[in-house]
Amino acid sequence: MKKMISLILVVMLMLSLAACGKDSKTTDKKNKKLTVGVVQTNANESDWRTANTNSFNKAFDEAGFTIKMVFGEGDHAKQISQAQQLIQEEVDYLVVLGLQSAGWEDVAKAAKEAEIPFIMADRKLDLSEDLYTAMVCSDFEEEGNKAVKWLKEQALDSYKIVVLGGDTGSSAQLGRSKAIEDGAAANGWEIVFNQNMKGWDETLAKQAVADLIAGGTEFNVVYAQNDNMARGACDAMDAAGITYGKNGDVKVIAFDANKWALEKVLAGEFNLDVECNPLHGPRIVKLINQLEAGETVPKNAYVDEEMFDCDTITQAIVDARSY
Amino acid sequence: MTKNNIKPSTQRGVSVFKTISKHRLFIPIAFLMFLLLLNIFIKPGFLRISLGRDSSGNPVLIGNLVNILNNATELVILAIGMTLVTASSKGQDISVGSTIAIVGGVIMRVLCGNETQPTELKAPIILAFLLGCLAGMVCGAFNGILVAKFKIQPMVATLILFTAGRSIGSMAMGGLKPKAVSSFGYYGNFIPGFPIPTPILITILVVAITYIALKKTNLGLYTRAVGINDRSSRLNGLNPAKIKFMAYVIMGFCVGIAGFVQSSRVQTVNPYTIVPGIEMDVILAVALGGNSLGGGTVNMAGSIIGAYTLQTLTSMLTTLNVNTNAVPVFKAVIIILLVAIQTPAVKNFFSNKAKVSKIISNQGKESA
Repeated sequence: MKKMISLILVVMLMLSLAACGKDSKTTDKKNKKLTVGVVQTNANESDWRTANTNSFNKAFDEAGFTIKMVFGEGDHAKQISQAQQLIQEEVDYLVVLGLQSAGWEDVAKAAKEAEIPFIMADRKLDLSEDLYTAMVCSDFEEEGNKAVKWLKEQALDSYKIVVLGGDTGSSAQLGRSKAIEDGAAANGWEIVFNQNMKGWDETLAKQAVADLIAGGTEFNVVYAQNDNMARGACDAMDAAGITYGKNGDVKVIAFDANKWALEKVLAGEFNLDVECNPLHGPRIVKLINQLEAGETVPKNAYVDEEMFDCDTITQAIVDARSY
Repeated sequence: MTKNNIKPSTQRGVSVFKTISKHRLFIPIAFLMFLLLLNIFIKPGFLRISLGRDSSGNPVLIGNLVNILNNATELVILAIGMTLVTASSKGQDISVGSTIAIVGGVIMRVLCGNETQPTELKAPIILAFLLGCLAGMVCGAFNGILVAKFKIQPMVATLILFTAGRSIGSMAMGGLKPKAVSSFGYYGNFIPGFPIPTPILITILVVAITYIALKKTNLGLYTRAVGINDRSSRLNGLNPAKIKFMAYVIMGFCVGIAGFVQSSRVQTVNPYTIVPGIEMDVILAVALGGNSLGGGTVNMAGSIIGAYTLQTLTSMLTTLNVNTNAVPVFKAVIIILLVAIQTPAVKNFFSNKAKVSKIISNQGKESA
């Protein structure tokens, strides 16, 4: 009986090995549907992220690629192992949206050895140029600099700034924090509060601002590193009767520019919203098609991004926004 | 002569101090007082509470103390459930944060349907609350069956929901991130016209019910008995499996209430980031309250005070504007201090020192 089972197992093993060999031999890149592995952060982190994920799914579907999307769900280490798994599955392209910017060298090297093009999207990772194929990212520091420039133009009597940071160590947080910290140092502004909220969420931002108000900290600018935290901060100011926005005492600056946030800009609740464009799908598809055709692609491409001021925004801009 | 007169009274003072310090709530309360005093010392206006008006003109109480009492609500409610779970099953439920994501997801789906910006509530709030509690209790029952019936270690059993819960919450919401109308926010903020935050009232209600349940029923006694010795409690006619299962279902109910309050705070839920890392804070609150994490103690008041201590610490780190990179370190250092004082090694060290000094002073007197 035991012999029988072991014989069956051996036969099965041989068959499966044979299947492997056959598969890899007949793989013809031109006839096969391209498989693109996407390492996404979280499925539902924010409205921005939802628009981002949908953009990938839609664009890849239209281009006829097979998409293998995995979600890190807030876990940096998980993302790295997921990326390595995708490399072992021999995807044709690897697109990475990293939760943290550090620690991707091994993945990039493994991809290079397996001859899988490594594309960074959304957030720039700490990699030397020879390790990745291309990058389509938002320039977060530039976004922050736009906000700083706008803030300077407001010519307030004094600047007391509350900085609500995003997830510590993400490139969005690092870039946006650096911009305001440098801006404040250069212009002699006072940053009265500067801490990162876990998870870019309303609740923690709201509790932090409520604590600041209760503790008697005075501020006249809220620099929230995404729309959701700006909304949380506004909730806290509402509860304490502090006026904000277009006609209020506190200037509110938000990032990402979701549709609902632009509605708030239009309503004069947020003063400024700096866009962070989530529609990466079509850009990546274009990039992959160019690479397939053997064209050279720009190594470092930044996404064009605008900003929306409550004094200049129009209904048409809000209506045109799809996410 | 005068010396003799003073002596008994000081001795009585010492013994009163001794009985107080031996009380099981002494260390938890001392921690809380220590943190509050530290806050007052650093920021003299810390305890000030003022009556302000919100942007709609309704009266509201504003102050750090109000914020602490308000924001600790979830922690306190969860700590109550966790105390029972810890005491009976000799282990912790690490799935509470993920289960809150499920509860929040269910509540938002019931209230908002399939819209992201609904202009009205799709269902009565009470229905959403009940379904949210039901979802929490189902998750609790799932954990309870694994622990009580299949005898899986609590941390391993609850690891399942800890891993999957946030994704389940996202699925419950259908992948959307809706925001409910502001009237849903009364339960996590203020009822218009009433200046005390609603979560504080909810906390008082839950704590009162817990107090009555512990006083009037055998809940505490049975839980403790099962936690101390499973087998002997069965020999005494208890059903340990049933009591453990009950503890997990009660935990699930607590998660339901906490999830309801949490989702009402900003009227929206993000399953992946809601209450980040609250599991560990809750377990810490139970430990700070003087409960043994190995089971067998039900020091409910201690757990509640522990929860407030942690919230005071969080609030303090915000008002002091501690450098964001130093926040976790700062928190860790204070927690290590708080936990270290409770360890037998430190306690023995101090009591030995006291004994030695007593002996020395006695010797001194004798020689005189």
